[in-house]
Amino acid sequence: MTPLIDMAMLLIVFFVLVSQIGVTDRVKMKLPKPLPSAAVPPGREARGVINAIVGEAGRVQAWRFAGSDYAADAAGLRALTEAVAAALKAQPALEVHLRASSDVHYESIAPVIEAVGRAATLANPQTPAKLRVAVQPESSRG
Amino acid sequence: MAEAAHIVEALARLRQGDGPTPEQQDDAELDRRLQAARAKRRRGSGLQLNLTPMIDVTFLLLVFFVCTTKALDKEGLLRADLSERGGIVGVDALTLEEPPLRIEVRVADGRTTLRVMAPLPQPADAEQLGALLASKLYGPRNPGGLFAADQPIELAPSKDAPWEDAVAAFNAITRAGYTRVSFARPQ
Repeated sequence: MTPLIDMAMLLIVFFVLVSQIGVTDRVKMKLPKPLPSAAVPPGREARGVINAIVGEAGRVQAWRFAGSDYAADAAGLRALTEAVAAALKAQPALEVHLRASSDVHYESIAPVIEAVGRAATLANPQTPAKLRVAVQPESSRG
Repeated sequence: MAEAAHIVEALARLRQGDGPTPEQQDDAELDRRLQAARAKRRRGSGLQLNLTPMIDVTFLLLVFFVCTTKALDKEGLLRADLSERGGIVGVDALTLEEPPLRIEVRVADGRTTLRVMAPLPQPADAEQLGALLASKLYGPRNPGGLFAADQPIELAPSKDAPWEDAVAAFNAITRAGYTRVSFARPQ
């Protein structure tokens, strides 16, 4: 009986950890679903996720990064740039993931891509930053 | 009739109160044995832990976590290039930096059109864009190709282009085998 309980406990600990990793920084949204997808599965790298919080039709209301929200205006983007730069400075290998809903207009996403580029230059001018665009692979459920 | 007589006799004896019935004798015997067994258990190492409720809870938790982790879907990632924005990042003084190939995503009357800013046949959708760029990719299999895999490509969606269409074009370019794809500022 003891090995069985051992195994069960081990699995529980595993799933507790895995689900905690999965839940962090995942705002529920409809990601773009390009077909057939060239997307790669997420690796083991450290990641900082920028979520687009969508307001009214096609516009981003705020950006969520590392648990705090930044308004989608000039001041908010400046604060976001500083936050991303600080995170990149602490972890140079950090991958920045961009999660935005598929119906958002490019106009409201472009500033944040630019902000990530600026943050990367601020943090480590030598190494290019890694931006990853999150998409929904075809195999998974919506 | 014999049974009835036996019962009547037993009842009479009970009423008189002269000694226990055979059933009562059995009960007393059982009690004595039980107490002996308990005493023996206390003395020896017969102490037992009931594990069943713990296993029940454990499996319940296990099933719960298995289900919830399944609900969290995997996400795919597309690699975007930021070096165009980084300014001085990774520029080698001895190599000529090629001008990026610009691909525009435009929206007119609810329809998305793609425009390759080069003298090439214009694709109608993301799939054709991918096929076109794959056919122009230089490599051992395609010595007549125009572009190397690290040819910088700048994807320029218009302001009102939905993110979905921008990502579809981006995906097509990545699928065609190009590694340096970046997003441009919206015009």
